[in-house]
Amino acid sequence: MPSKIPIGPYHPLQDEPEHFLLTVEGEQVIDIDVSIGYNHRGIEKLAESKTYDQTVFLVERICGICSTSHPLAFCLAVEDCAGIEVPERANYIRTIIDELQRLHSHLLWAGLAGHFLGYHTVWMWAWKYREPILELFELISGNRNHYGMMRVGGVRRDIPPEHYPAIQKVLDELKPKLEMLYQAVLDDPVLRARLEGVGHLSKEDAIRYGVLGPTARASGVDIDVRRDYPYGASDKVDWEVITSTRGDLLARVEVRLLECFESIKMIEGCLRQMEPGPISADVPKRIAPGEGIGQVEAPRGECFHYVVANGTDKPERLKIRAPTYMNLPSFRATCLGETLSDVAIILAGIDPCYCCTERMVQIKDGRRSSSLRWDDLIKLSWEKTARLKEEVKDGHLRLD
Amino acid sequence: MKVKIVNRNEEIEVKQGVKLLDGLAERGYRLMSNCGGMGSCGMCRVKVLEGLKEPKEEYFGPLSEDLKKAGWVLACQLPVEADLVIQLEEKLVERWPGEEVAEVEEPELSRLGKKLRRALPGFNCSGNVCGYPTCFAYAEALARGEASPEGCLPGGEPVRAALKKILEAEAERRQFIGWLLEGIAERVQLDREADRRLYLRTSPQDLKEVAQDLLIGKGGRLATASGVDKPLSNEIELLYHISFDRSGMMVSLRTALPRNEPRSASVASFLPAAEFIEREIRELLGVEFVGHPRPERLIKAEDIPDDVYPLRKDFRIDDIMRRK
Repeated sequence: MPSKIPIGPYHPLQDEPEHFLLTVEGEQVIDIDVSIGYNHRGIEKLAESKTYDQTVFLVERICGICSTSHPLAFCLAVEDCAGIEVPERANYIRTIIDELQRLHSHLLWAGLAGHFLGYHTVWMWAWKYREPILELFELISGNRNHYGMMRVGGVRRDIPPEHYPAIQKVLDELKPKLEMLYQAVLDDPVLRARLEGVGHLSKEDAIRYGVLGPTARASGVDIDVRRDYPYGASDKVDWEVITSTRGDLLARVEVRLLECFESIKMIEGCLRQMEPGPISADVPKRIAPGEGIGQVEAPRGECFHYVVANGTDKPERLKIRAPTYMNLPSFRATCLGETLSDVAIILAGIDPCYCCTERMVQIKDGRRSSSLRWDDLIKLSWEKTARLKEEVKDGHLRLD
Repeated sequence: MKVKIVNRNEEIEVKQGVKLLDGLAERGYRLMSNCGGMGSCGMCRVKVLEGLKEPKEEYFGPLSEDLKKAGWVLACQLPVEADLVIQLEEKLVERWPGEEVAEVEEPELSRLGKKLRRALPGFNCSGNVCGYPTCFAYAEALARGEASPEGCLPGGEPVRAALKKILEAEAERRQFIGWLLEGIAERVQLDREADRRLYLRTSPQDLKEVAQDLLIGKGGRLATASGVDKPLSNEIELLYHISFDRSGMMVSLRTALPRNEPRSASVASFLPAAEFIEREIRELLGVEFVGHPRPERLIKAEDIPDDVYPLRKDFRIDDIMRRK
């Protein structure tokens, strides 16, 4: 007699409001139904009443992790529509930000995957290694998240050459740690047992469901926007697309961790090759009637924006498609036949998008003493950015 | 209300209560406004010489004390409640009434011509070598296949190599388009193209078969679909964005559905990748997908009635509130 188990829309494991209705027979999952829309914010409609410049900030708020993918995809779409040429240096900076974001996102996911498996060492380690990248972001943009770096026609802020050594230092220190994490995951018999052969997605199913990013590449679908539709400096630096043919969870872990090394290669290439120059093109406030498409390889897969311009300073229509939108329905292929205890990690296997908010509560003497207000948070953030910049100037940056 | 603009010594009529910025724009005076009327950039400032009563704090926004004292206010924040005499800051006026947008001097080039022009040196050899008066004319002739890339002697070998590379890439692109249109050529029109974009138009009757050919027959990947409400032409445009990743070409297949009864054959009936997006378009734009395997609601909030479509241009928030 099959029974039904609802998961979500709010539950302690998956922080996002999504509802899964599992039909199980004994331990085995025989059907799954996914409902979304609990968090639909009407951003596409809202964009129709914002100027192009404002929309860049609006779409940055779609996601707290791949927060640069959406503004970048939107900028690319508007540039595609209006035929705007982006200066060379801006392209390199775009790729640096994009790849740093991929590093922090993949490490975040690796940590969460460990957490879902009850493997808290992996969780703590991965997040510890992720921290210096967030601090780098704070150094570059003033923010750990929501960098506000993109604008139509280029980027808003330059990366001054005196920051290059700090970026290089973080990357140099990250490499051995990533290597260790990668080997540790592959070597651990328990992790292998939880991941190998679990949540299998065949290449045919991957194509039928149109899955994207690491989820597709782990199933042998060789797609990557950075190679197929080059943007930023992705066609000017050396790197490779990572694929695997196994299609199970272990393959998804492998693909993501190996991609981190490629991201490091790309950032290093950018730092070596980029030359001084303007960081933004002149952009008309009103965009002539037309349409444009922007694609960005977000950490979870292709992020797609379609813009229709009508000659005013506001878009006529903006269609946004985040990668998880295509990856979610594939649960119907991956969960069926698996046991209930594996469902959590399979659901996490596509890296559904989370948003983490930090620095909300101040802890004193191990006891919660007071909540920080918005002003306090901003002040703290400013102080830290100032300290990091001071340390860079003195030549002994302490990113810990 | 009457607003007198001293710069041009002209008087315009503005409805009472309308924000000055909008009132001016209606009469052709376009002031710069980076923030789009949020009162934060200070670019739409005007000097009120007469008629400003009880100034409120928000009229000034980010303006400095000096400007405030001199009588400057933000036009986007100031409602016209009395007759005004104002002075505009000339350098912050984007366009005066009757002023046309300045014309671009460069000749209009084709898509390929533009690319080729960028590779040319622009030495202005005056056609002594290649036989064309400007690099623009030479680029355009190259694009039409009437000139040889060997012609640009002043540019030297690097320029000739760059031209050849562009022309080869274009030949490859043409070949791809030829392959793409095999078997569907008479059912689609080439609507618009760019380097990596192709917009095809088809009729609603042919949509399903053409999509099937592109997605299943030719192995395209459905990136997503989108709908655009076009009340002026009384239609809803439906686009399926199909990516051919290895060729780096995004093909958007579009069709126009009548706005009063938008119906289309479902792509999800043969491809699960289209299931979510068709459900979304159905509830946000009201397009019915015939043959959809699960035509149920997906993302629209429960309190929005079935027949209220938020992404239509005539949607008003009252449509929801009134029915509650």
